[in-house]
Amino acid sequence: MKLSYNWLKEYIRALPSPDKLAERLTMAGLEVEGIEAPGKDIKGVVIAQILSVEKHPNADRLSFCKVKTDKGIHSIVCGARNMKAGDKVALALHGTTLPRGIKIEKTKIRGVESEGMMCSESELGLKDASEGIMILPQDLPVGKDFTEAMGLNDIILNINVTPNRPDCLSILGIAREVAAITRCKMHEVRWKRSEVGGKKQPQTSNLKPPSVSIDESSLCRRYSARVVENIKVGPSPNWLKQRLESHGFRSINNVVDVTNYVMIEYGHPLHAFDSDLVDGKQIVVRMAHEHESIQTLDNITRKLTKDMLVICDKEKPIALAGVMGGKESEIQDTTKNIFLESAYFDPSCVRRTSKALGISTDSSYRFERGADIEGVTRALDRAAQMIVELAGGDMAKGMIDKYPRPYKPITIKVRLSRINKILGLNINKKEVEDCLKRLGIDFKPVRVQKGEGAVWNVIPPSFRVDILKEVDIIEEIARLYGYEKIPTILPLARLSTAKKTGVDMIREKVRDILTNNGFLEAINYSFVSPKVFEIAPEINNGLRLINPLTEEQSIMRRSLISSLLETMRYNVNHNNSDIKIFEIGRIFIPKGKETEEREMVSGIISGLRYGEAWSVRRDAVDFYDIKGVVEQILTGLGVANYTFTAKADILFLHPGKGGVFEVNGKPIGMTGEAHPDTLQSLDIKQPAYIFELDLQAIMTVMSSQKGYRPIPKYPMIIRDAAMIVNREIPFQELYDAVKGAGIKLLEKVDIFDVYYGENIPEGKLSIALRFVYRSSERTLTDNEVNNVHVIILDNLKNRFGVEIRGEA
Amino acid sequence: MRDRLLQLEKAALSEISSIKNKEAVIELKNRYLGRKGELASLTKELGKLSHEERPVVGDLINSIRGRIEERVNSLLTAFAQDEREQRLKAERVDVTLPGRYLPLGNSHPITQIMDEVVSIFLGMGFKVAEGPEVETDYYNFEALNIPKDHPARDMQDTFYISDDVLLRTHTSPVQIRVMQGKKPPLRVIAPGKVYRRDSDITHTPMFHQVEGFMVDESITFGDLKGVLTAFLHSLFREDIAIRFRPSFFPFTEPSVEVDIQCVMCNGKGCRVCKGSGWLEILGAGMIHPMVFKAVDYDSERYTGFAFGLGIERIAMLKYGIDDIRMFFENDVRFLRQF
Repeated sequence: MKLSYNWLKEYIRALPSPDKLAERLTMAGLEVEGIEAPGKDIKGVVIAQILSVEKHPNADRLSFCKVKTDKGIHSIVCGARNMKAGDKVALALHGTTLPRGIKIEKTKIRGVESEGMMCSESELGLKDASEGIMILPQDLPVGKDFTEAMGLNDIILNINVTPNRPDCLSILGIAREVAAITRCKMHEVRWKRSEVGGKKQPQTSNLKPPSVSIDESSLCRRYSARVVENIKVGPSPNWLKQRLESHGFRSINNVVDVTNYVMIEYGHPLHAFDSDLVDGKQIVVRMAHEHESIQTLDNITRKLTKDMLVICDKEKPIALAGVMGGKESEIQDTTKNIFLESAYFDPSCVRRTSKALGISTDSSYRFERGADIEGVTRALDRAAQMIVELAGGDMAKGMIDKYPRPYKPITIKVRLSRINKILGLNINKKEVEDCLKRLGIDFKPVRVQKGEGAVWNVIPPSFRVDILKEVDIIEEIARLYGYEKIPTILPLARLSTAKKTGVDMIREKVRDILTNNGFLEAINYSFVSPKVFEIAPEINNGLRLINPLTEEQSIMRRSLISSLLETMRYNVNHNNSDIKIFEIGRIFIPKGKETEEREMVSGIISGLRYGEAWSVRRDAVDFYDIKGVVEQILTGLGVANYTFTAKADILFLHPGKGGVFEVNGKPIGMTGEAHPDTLQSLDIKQPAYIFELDLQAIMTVMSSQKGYRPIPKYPMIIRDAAMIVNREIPFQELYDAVKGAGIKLLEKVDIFDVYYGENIPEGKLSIALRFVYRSSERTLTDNEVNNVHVIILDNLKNRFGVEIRGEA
Repeated sequence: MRDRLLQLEKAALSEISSIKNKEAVIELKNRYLGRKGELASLTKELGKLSHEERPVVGDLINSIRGRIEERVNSLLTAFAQDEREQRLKAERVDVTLPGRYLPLGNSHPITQIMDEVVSIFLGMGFKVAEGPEVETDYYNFEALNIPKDHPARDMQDTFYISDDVLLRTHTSPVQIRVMQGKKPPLRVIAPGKVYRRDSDITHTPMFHQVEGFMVDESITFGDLKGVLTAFLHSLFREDIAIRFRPSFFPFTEPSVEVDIQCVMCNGKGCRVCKGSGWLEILGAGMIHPMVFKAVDYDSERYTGFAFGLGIERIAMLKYGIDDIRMFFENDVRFLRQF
């Protein structure tokens, strides 16, 4: 809400300086977000009138003007061309300084003396750029100070009014608040009402007001109206235009401007109809009928629904109650007689209509937060009176005021003990009563038993729609007492163990492992583009947002991989092609009406394994790098007994370079090379390797239990064996066969070389295995080891047809 | 015999004094002192000498052997030392070349700030709780005293999945979920992602929040001030100025906005704090009785405070980042800096 300092000053004469005021308001809950003083750097500029415009004798592009001020006639050379004799302009004479540091001096321009400058808006600092000089309204008095004449000597405070305080969406409301905070006296601006009619003047037919009926008295709890006849619609006077403009309103005509002016001053929205365009002299407040429509003031025809409250004449809706008026009964230049409405509409109803039609107006903004039902007629009278003063005409005697169930103040029981309990204070009865008085809140002490502490019955004023409960009063006390005066203490609490959640610990561990491996953590948006599903139609049924910001962010992701591929593309396009990135986040799986959220970790690698350095080989990463990362994570998390199985049809993965990790037959994740088609569709030109693990699934199978096994007392015996194997046989099968042979003395077997190429037949490869034999009870002999080693090798020979090298 | 011995010694010593390398020393050592060397062959002639002479010459042989050996050994040591020095010199590497290591990665700056915030509250005995990001209208709004058609809903522009299902706009629903399942005393923080329909230099449609709350039989507004002051002092600086000013949130009353002295200009007023010298850092308040009602707590018996803060904002202030969108662009040149 924009607030004119000068206007506020009409209410609070002893108003603190703008900075001080801003500070006080902010610390009382009305945060001042900015202070604008558009005219503060303009000093000495006066209103002048151009008497003549002639061509400069020595320059085609310049003009030579004679202008008049109260001090006399001045000669001015000017480069602009948009002025003519008779125009009023802003004149800066010798000695004036303008906002952007322009100093005005008497000079000779091309041999002709110029006493000053006629200013443009940009030279006055009012706009960033402007063309030509500023031509001012004709009614400004010559010689008057420019800022004063234009209302620029005002200061505008920008106040962030929280949704609970609609009463502060007005000059009057802020004035009441300032009075409460500063203890300054508030002077309500007085005005008198001049009705006509009755005995002195006969009432014309126009002045006879239409009949008003309210069908929905719960949604329109009050409807008041006045009729003003024989007005002359025209432009508003300057002071009114300026006030509206400084509060962000555009001037329209004297009638509409008055309704806006009164809304700013009192906070109550009003609407004026051309009463000659209201059919049948009849106003009905009712719900819209199905298929009814109305053309609103913004020239848009709106289809209405049954839950929208409308103001109707005999036939049809002429306004959306509390939201916007209708085009048909709009005030026009030819309007003679007006019907001025001031009503109270139900906040939820106004909000629903405003949301459904997508119209938010200053009126709907105030009604949906809650207007002052008791302030309805004051605003009406004030507006009618101003219209009479500014547009002429006669105010019909008598006011329509349909108010079926008048406002009944609420009574709230407030306990001193509760105030002190919530706030951690020890204030007394007097201090509380002082706060209440300053806020204009009525109270009556309630008789209590001795030692019980004071209790009041408190009656908030009608404009404080936010005060409904004891705690609302407690907030008011705290606010006025001052948050800064409430003592800052640390709470007493029982000791308790503070632990992270299980999933948090996993995240931390995974993050450690990955960052130690050189991975950077990324965070992507949870919503992705539906384009993702062109490469992954299997996950097409992702959750869709009803109202996404863009189509690119419209579907809740079902895999982190698509996001990481995008991250990779972004970085490769920015010349960073060595990629090691991971992300931990949730995926969203629709399950009927519910959504399952699963926490995943996913990673992507591409480019050089160790980057560019003098000391390492420039090797590109491959499948075994990414698989190794996953193995490291699983080992680090204490997941034993996982298996990895090749699988050809995993989403995003190359059919020959990917597989799934499983524990007890349940999948926990996958890894592999990104499918070339996927990469191509993203225009990525280098291979990438990805993994994704389901942290929730891992949580159920991991073991954080660590156990100790004694360090072996007896030496080990090592046997290495190189063998030629058919390439079709997966290593895992050989390994399982070795382990499955049931040789107790075999402590472990490792693969330490894989070779194919020269000296190895087509379709075969050479594998070197290292067998470690040991007994926990004694030192083994060569013979013992040889006996079992042969069994293992024979088993491999028989089952897989391997050929042990060096065994001719 | 005696003369021959002395001559031999002289010849040996003179040879030694002009010797140039280790191999020559060893050769000389063998030639003179070896089992078949010159001194040994002279020793064999001892038998020819008389009983009287034998021990005298014998002594002489020993002393000559001793002297030659001493010279030879010291030469050998010198050569060995020399050789070691040569070898070490040859082994020299350019130690100014950079070391070899696999570059460390790092977690995201948001993760780092989040961890910092969480650990401060863990230190004060708060427990961590989490909740769903796809929430119902009830948990995100209704139970938090934000009924349908309430203007306070405008404070948070919401992404909807359906009429009743949405992306949580704050982590406050976790407050409700925790209180539904547990009785006070409670000290809980709820970190997580939240979503609002907003995008510009200071807003992204997804960001991170930490919600926290404490409920017990006598928690006051003074406790709220105390805990949040301790937190902000720990997160920023022990002597940073803090101010509490009234605000409005539907789920707390009294509500408070907490500002810290601007970390960029130390309160003098700058672009970041829009000249005010203060930075809005978190929102808080005493939990509203309507919220307690929604979870069946007796608000006459229990009181509590709740607060919420945006992690991105803190990260921006701490690292001097002026565009929030950087966090989600995931440019490695950005990520690597933290």
